[in-house]
Amino acid sequence: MKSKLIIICILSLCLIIGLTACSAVQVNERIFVSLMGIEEDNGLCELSVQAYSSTESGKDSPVPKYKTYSGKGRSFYEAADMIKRESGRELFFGHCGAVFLDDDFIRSKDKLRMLAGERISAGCPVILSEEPADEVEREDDDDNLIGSEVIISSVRRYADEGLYSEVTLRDVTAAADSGGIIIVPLSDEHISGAAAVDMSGKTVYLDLSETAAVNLLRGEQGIQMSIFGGSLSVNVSDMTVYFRQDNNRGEYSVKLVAEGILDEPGDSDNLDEYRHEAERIISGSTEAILEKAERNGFLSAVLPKDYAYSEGYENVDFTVETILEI
Amino acid sequence: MKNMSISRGQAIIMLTLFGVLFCVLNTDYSSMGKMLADTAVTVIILSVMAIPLVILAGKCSGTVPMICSERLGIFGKAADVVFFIYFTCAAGDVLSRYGEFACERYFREAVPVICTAMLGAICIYISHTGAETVCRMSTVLLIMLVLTSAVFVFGGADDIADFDYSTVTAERLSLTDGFGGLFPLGAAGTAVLCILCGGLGKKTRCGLYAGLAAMLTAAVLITGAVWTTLEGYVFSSEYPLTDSVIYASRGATFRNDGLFFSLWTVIAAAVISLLCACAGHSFKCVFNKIRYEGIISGTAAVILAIISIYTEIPVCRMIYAVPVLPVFLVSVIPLILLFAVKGKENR
Amino acid sequence: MAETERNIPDGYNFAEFPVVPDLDENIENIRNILGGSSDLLVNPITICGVRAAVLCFEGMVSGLNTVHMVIRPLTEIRIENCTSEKLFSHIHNNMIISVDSAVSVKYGDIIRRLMSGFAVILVNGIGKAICGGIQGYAMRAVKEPSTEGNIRGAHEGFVEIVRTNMSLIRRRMKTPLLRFDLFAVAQKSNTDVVVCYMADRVPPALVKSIKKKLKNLDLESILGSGYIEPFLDSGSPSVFSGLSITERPDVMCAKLLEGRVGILIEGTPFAIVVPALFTEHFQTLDDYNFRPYYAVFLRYIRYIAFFLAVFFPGIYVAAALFHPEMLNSRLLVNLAAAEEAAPLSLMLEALITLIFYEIIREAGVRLPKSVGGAVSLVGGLIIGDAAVSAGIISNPMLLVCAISVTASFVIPSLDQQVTIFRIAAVIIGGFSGLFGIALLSAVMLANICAAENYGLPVMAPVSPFSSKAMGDVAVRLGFKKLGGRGFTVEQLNGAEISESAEYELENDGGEDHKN
Repeated sequence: MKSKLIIICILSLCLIIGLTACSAVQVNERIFVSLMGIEEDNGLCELSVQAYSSTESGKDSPVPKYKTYSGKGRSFYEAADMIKRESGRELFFGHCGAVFLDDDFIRSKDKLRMLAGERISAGCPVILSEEPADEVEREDDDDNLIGSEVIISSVRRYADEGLYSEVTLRDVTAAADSGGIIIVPLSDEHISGAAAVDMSGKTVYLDLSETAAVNLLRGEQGIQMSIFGGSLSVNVSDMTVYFRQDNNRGEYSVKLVAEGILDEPGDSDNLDEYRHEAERIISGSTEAILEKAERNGFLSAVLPKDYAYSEGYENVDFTVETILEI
Repeated sequence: MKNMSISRGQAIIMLTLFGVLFCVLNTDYSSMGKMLADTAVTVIILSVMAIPLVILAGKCSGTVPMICSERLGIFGKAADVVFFIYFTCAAGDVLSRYGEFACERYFREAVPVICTAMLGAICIYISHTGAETVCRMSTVLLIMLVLTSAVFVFGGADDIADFDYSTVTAERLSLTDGFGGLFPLGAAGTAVLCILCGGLGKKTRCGLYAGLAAMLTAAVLITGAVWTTLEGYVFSSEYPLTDSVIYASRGATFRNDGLFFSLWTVIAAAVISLLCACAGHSFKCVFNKIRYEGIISGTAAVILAIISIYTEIPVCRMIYAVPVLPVFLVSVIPLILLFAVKGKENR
Repeated sequence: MAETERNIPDGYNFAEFPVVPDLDENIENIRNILGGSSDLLVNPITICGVRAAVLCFEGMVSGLNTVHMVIRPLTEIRIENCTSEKLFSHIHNNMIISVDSAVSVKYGDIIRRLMSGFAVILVNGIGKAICGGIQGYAMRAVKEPSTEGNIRGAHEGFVEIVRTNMSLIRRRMKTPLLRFDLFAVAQKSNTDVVVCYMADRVPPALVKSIKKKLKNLDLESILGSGYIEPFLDSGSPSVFSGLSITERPDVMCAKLLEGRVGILIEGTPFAIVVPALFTEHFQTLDDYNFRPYYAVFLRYIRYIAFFLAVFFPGIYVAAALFHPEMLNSRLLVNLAAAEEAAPLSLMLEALITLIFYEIIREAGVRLPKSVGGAVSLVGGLIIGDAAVSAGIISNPMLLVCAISVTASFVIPSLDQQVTIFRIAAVIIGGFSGLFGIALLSAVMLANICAAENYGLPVMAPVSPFSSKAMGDVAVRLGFKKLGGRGFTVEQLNGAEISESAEYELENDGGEDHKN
């Protein structure tokens, strides 16, 4: 009786295991996505992926080779299905190194949750782009696709230099859930700065130096950010930096305002340090500010006090000031 | 009856594993302050509930169902049936939830019923070997738990250090807050002591309270680890502990959440098997001549779990998660037995 | 006629027949019992006018010793007015024909001793026989054991002769507390089995129980230690045995000192030790010859090797098929490129590789030694390399299986279990990924934890935990701490080695036993 029972148990287990059967997907039947770009346009979702090419990579190749696939559909899943049908392979997102999204996608928590359901790690870096699909298909000078390693390393390099903080899917999803502003790296054929994305609908674009200044302030505790009009305002207890882009008024200004309560010893030293650091960063890009002002048709620009220039910009009147309020 | 020589340490570890399993399956990690407070209140409630059991274990030898059937006649048998139903439903609920979790996160190629059936089959075998076997497994599981926790802490050290601890604030709680969250599984773990006390004897008090303290510590540490790693993402995540493990391993050469998942699966098997073994013991107290009681109770748990999944009605949870039942089993019955024992002594 | 037939002993019915006084009848009866077997040598001799005979089996006794120690002394006997009784008494009391001599009164005893290399002296008119051990059969010299190699330990191993093995142990444990109990078991082979133990260390109930089991063995013959292992092991259907096997006398002595019982079997150099713990499979004698830090390092290498041996191919298959996110992306790319050309699924590749390895290993064991080298050449170079070049198997898979197989060589005593679980892990991993492998490891763990032998949990001292004994499991304490502990298995937590426990086990038929 006992041996019969054991045999029945073993056979049942084999049956159960066998029922799971054969549903495994072989390694070479998958597309391992290393980079992904998703954009939506007029209700149509375009998904572009860059994947490791197993036929071209391998022991003879010192670096992995890539291939791109793209698909369109009414949703992310439909677009992915189209790629699957055309290539005959399953898409696998578990190795996705970075995701390019547009600012509508970043604001949508349902769409972000969709990504989480595809086994993409919550630590996957997110990069904002106006044309995410094109970012995935960029090539270098030798007409080779720029792989995810290159992109991720440049994101991380800027993060290590303190220009901005790496933003992951976790951060973006949390911001979408809770509302608020998140500073996301921005790409326009290369990492060109960051965008302050307000989940209620506004986006402010920052160049690298502006990003650096914001990041410098974000390193402090108790930071508050707000977007009002076309400006991103970053406040800490003793410093406020305004980046105002107001096309209607045609004015572009960068003001450095430091304010604080000097009742703690050492506060004034810290204020000076913050001011010097922010001025150093911002003054390094004053040429860029002027170029931007001229390019966008601004009438005036206010620049930090240490600005020294050798050429004038005929169409822009500029003044130099530093406002320090204590 | 199967012999049970359980050590105090094993009982403590088993209760800790109940706490760990709760954290794995928990989908609702509300604010960190509230979670910690809920967990603490739960453990306090369980500690108070278990006082009659501890006193009884110090006076009488044998398990509570055994003493019930010996001392209380037909009422005792009825109580044993309630024990059986409770433990079977607890096992069935954990089995169905874990089967769904495993299918959804790590085994998408299958369906939840298959995962549940596979896990259930293994639990039937382990419960047949007895509660003592499961308690012996717990020592090895503790070693693995410590090692994997070290891996997690090592990977997530940056996030843990950078977390803004000022956001953790005290929350106002009501008494009923303690009956959510950890309570169902924690109460099941406490109820398991009604059976394990047969092997622990006078050490039940130390084993129980140290075990509850360990359960609280485990739940607190894991909650802290999840929150510091995921922060606001917990609200979007369906299984926050799993996602925090994945997030913590993002800097590593390879993702190591498979290691954690394997450990959690063995822990789930141990917990479910222990519940089935306890159910089987209660069943045997009613029907003495029954053999293979572990297989019977395990099969019942699997069937209930599959029904829950297939019908999408949490049949097991509706029975075992009701606070009245563990209070009755852990507090009321031992209290009645204490009076029965005392009455017999006086006579 | 029928009455006469009933009184004649034969090959089936002879054990209780008494020796008769008549010499010719004795010789006739013995020939009849042996069915006229041609290896029986009968040397009739007349001593002082009394007829006698020396019987022995050809090849079982030393011819030279028989002549010098038995026949010549017999021919030199001078007794005046010699009678049968005087002669018998003189041989028995005044002569020492062998250091191992006895008087037999039944044919059963005589036959057994003849077959054990004794010379039997029969005197006409006496219903008894004098047996002297003059063994001279061919036997293997004591040399290093083939299965338990080491670096710094002794290079002596047990041989097929149980008495030699006893001497190997006795030489190392010069204490009167070392006891040997010898008896014959099995109906046809009457194999000598020796139970050895330390009287001050072993629980008496354990010895009693083992002896009882051995004496009640229902076997016709014992040709190897594997014949009696199932009878000594507990009734539990555990994959992991509660016995251990050793070929080394030094290991046997170490285990006897821990309160275990050793069983030596005639005809096999493998001795059985009861009870055994799971952690002992990871301990070798060299651990106690090396410095503690190095011994600890080696021990953890073995733990890791066990894990790799069982789970590596299965985890690899599971991760590649179901959880590719867990593999490093560069590794995955290489793997996918390698699998591009392979026609079979990953699981089948793994199974084929492992089964091929088992075939090659079995061939290597069975082949004559002179051509054994060809197996490694054919198996390793030709099949392995050719299979990869032909694209049947991929390189990563071959590497994974090779690592797993090599790791299993580290723990040869667990080879059977490792092989079965390894293949099971591959199949389960191929069907259900890490979930299945986790369930398999749960089954393995439960199986080991449930196993008990003679009241001792096999998983001790890990579980039930014993901090004292963990000094030789988790680490290897120095001898200053380890040496004088007087540790025995009975002290382990959870050990219930008692007569009552065994009695309950036997009476219940194992039904209520944990397994």
